[in-house]
Amino acid sequence: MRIKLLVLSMLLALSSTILMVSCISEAPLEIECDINEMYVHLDNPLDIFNSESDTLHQFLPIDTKYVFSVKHNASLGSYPVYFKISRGSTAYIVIDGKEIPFENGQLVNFTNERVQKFVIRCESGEWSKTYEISMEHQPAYTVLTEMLITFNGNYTIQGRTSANPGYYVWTETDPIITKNLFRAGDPIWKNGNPGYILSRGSAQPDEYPTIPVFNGGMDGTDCIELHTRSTGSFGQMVHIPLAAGSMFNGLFDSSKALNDARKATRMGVPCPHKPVRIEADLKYIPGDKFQDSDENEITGVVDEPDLYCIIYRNVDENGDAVMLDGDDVLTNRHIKGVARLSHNYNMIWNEEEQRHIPEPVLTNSPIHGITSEWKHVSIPVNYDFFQTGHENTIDPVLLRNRGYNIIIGSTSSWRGGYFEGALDSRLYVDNIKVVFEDPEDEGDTTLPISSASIIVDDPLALFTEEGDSIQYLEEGTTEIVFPVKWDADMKSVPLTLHAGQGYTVFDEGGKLFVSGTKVDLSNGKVLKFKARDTDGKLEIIYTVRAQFQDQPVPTMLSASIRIASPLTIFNNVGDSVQTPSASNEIVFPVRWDAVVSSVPLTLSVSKWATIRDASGNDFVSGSNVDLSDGQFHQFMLFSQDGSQSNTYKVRVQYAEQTEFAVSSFSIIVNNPLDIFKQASDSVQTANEANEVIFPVRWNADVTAVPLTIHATKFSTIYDENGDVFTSGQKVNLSDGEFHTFTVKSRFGKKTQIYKVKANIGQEPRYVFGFENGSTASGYYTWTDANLASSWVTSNAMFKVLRTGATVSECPARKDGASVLLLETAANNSTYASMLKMRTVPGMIFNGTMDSYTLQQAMSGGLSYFQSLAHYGAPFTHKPTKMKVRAKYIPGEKYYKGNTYVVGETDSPDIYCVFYRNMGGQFTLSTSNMFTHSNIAGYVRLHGSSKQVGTSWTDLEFKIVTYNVDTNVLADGGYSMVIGATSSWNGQNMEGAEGSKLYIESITLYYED
Amino acid sequence: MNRIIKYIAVAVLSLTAMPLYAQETEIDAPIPVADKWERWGPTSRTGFGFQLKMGYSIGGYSPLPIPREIRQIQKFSPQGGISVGIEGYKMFNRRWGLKIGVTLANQGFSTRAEVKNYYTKIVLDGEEQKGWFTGINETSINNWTITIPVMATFRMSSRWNVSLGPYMQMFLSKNFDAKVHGFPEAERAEDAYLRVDHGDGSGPTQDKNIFGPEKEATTSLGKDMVTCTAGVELLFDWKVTKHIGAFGKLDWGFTSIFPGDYDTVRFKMFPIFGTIGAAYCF
Repeated sequence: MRIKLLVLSMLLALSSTILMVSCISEAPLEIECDINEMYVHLDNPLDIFNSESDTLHQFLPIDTKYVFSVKHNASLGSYPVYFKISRGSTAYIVIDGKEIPFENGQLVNFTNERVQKFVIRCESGEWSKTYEISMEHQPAYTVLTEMLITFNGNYTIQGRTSANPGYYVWTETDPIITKNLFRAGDPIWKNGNPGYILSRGSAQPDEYPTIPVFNGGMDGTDCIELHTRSTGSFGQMVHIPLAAGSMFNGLFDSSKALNDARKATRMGVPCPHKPVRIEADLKYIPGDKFQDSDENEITGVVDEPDLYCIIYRNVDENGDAVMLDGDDVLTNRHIKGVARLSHNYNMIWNEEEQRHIPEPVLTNSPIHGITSEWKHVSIPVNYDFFQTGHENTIDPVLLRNRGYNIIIGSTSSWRGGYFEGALDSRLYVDNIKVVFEDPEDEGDTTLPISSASIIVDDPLALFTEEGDSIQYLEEGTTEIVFPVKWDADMKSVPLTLHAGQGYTVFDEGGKLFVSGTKVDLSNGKVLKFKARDTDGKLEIIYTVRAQFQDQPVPTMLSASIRIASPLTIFNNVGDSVQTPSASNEIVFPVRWDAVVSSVPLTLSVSKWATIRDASGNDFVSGSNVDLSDGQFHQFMLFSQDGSQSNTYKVRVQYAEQTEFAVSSFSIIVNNPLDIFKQASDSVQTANEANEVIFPVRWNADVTAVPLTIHATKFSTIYDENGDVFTSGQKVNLSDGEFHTFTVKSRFGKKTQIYKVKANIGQEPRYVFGFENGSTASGYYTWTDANLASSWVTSNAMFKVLRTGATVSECPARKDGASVLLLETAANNSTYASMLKMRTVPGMIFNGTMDSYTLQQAMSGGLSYFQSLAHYGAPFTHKPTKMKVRAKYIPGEKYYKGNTYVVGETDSPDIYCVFYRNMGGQFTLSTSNMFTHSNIAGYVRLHGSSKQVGTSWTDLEFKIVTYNVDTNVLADGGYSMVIGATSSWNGQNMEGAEGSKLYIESITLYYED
Repeated sequence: MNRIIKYIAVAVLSLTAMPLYAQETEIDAPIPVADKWERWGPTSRTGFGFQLKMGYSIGGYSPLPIPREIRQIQKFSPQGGISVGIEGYKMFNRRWGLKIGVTLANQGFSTRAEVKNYYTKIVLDGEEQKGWFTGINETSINNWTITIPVMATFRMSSRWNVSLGPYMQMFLSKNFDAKVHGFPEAERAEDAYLRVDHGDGSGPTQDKNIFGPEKEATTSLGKDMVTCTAGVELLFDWKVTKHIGAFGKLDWGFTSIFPGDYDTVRFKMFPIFGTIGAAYCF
């Protein structure tokens, strides 16, 4: 039972645990509103900052202000600003008193050193913090040889609240010190007091580690007292049992004071002067008991004070800012020089860094020499503090550009950073003097003017060597010449003239010349100065001028063609920028089809160089030029004074043309069907032999048709005369012959010849020939595929009457290979005589002939014969013309029936009749062949004006048709008959024996 | 700060589970009802009775609900927990009666919790630190208390009794040690800090006091605790035999262990404890 109970309880415990975990509410809204980091983006940070790392600033939690220190001649603008702010918080920029949400990357206007306000509001909305951010110009460089730090009367109590009495804060007011030992906007001497308040907030201001002593200095004015104090219970709890008094320039990060105290003291500020010595008035009373960081007393050790001046490089090899802190203030490898109170060290050799590193030694016999009586000390800056065997050099240009930080620091317990020291050790400090190297050695001061110098921030902008900026005079010399760079801007440079002892310098006008006054030495101007001794008796005139270096040969750095769509000209965008070759040639590789007849050519040339084009005119970079010829175009560069010149040549190099073709030829007219059978025939491509053939209608007018040749762009076309042919130009193709066109690619590199002709169609026609006649039936018969019916001749009838007749006796037969011979045959048979058919004409026509027997013929007579013939067969074209080549020889004896008629001459007949066949039901017969009302048109030799001669005669008949219904025609509703006979009235059995009609062929033309 | 509720919930739930189990066993004993009540009933004919009790007490002091500033309770471990008491009762009728008790109990536990923007004030030797703390907060508590409940008691069945009523609790000894420290993880070395409240209304915008992994601040709050708290007790009694019993109870405090205007711990901390144990019934 109990076990069951236990199991049950455990299950319940488990489920309630799950319940508990889900009980934790959502995270509270964030309550902080700090800017942690700020970054100003500049494409070229060095335009305004001394180093790139100056663009980034990390704020301390207590900060509400930051001033970016910019070069003294920087021109300020608006820059994108990026913040890292507390999680959940929102940034606003204050503009005209209104808070406007600020997005990272937004431009912030820093011109005129204006102060921009930002408000950060925390996520919960409960708290906010206002920051003031600005940029301030560094003061212009001036020579500084020493500064004196007095700590006189410049202290106030801050941090006072209801719970805390507050602590002393020193604000430096001497501008020489603030400009050189403090960051812009932060002229506060730093010490551990703001950290001490966090552990002993109840302390009175005088109980802090760093306090002033009113009138307590060696000279009777104020000094400072650095006093090693206990940090109380809180300090002990966090294992920071003591706080040494301190004073230094730099930053104090109080947020780390109780956590990582050495990191809280961040020392040094950029200073453009090189320290050589530090002096101070000091007094020291060590505390009684030296204790370690766990507050254990260490016997036999006496506490020691410290005072130092350190110069170090403030940017590392990676461009990151370097700032020394309590951990490495005396060991960091960026340290260049150290002046420090003497202490006992072991110098430990570091093989890797090739230097000694000092390791402090705690003793009971300090060597610093400071006692409870005021003492003035003077300590030189040791530029080989790490005992490497050689002095560290200070780069003068870097120095001037604030590339080195200087620390002036002091403390009451030299090991205080490690929480070692004696409580109540007290160091009194007054009148710290820092002596800097004088960059100007004044030379021989016995001369009226010993030296002349031009001191600027960046001497290398004017001089080849920095040393040229100062000129020492020798005795007897009165000409002062500054050798300057050819491009030095000498219009307004500060000139310093060091007068010798007892001399005063006046300008040409007799006014006192103040060293540092800006003078104009441009264009070789010579300035005169007078050095006068105090009596005014001796006056020596000096001249000052700048000697400009020879101007260098102007050079072209690059040439570019900048257009909106570079790929219309270049295959690669990068091709648009070219640098000159060794032979000063610039070649732009362009596309084969590039149009470069007017392109903007930008020539980037060396400083102050001017450009002239080939005609000697000034060329403005970026002007349009015509480079289309692919030839070199010359540009001449002249130095500023015109003494030097250099010639460059620019051209384009067209890429090889890869595509070259004529895609099609076309004849484009309004009504293509006037010319072509189908519209698509108007466009043709060349065949393998480069021939282009337009099939045109037989009756098309192609004497002047517009011919379009679709060739790859920029091609040129020439006609057969060698003239340039413009596409669309009219050509005469009526001869049906080939016409040659020559197509040349851009710049004529490729050629293709095409031949164009019109294939003029034939007029539609049927040619009926007779060469293929058959004799299978005992007489000639012909058939023709173009006829709907076969040829019918009088042969069959003749054979009925004269059964024994041979093939060559029949009236229709071949003469030779192909000629049709129709002969009116003599019919001497009994039957013929009975039928009064003395002659049988040679006849041929297309149509049908009913079959018959001799008996039927005998009983039916002539009219029966006539009724057997059916003329014509369906024909679906409208005949237009008939051509016949024939000759005729009439017979001698003319018969009508059986009766010989004297004097009558026989004549032939050839005809074509076109008629409606009434749906195929109707054919013409002998009696109505030329008279029936269905006839829609006919021609006939007989009765016409045309004659067939005895020699070959060409006959042409025009067939006039009327009322032709084209629909009926298409349906086969019309028939056509062509026929010929050797005796025109043969069907009535008239004709002359032996009349011969020869026909070579019959051609029937028709409408298509 | 606490995972106390978990344990309390266990106690309450396991107690309420007991009657269910008890009913089951009754089915096995088909004794007439009247006899049962007699057999398990009060030992005295007059309706008076006493019970000596000894038990194990578990629970803690917790704000309710748990404030958002407490991000994660990393540890809760009970300590001590001895509970000795005597209860007297008078049954007015077969079902209803009154119960009064006196219990001496040891309330102990320790917790570790991650907090964020947790407002606190630490006073040490006259020095004061206050502000918004983000980091780890540990507490260790061990107090002796006297609890006097006055309850109505109700006999649910022959063997089951439930009692409910208010109680007064007095602290005989007060030990409340608190410690704040940084995150032990190196990557969060600078994430633990006190945002100092300068008391000038500027809020968490000024000094920051980073607590690295090895930095800690301790304070004893025992002396600041109130002397008396009040609450409600819920008690279940079950008879194993006529003289031996088992019990489970929940003491739920309705007043905070710190004064109302206390700055160090700004939210109310209610004592909530469950106890199980054995009883001897006279």
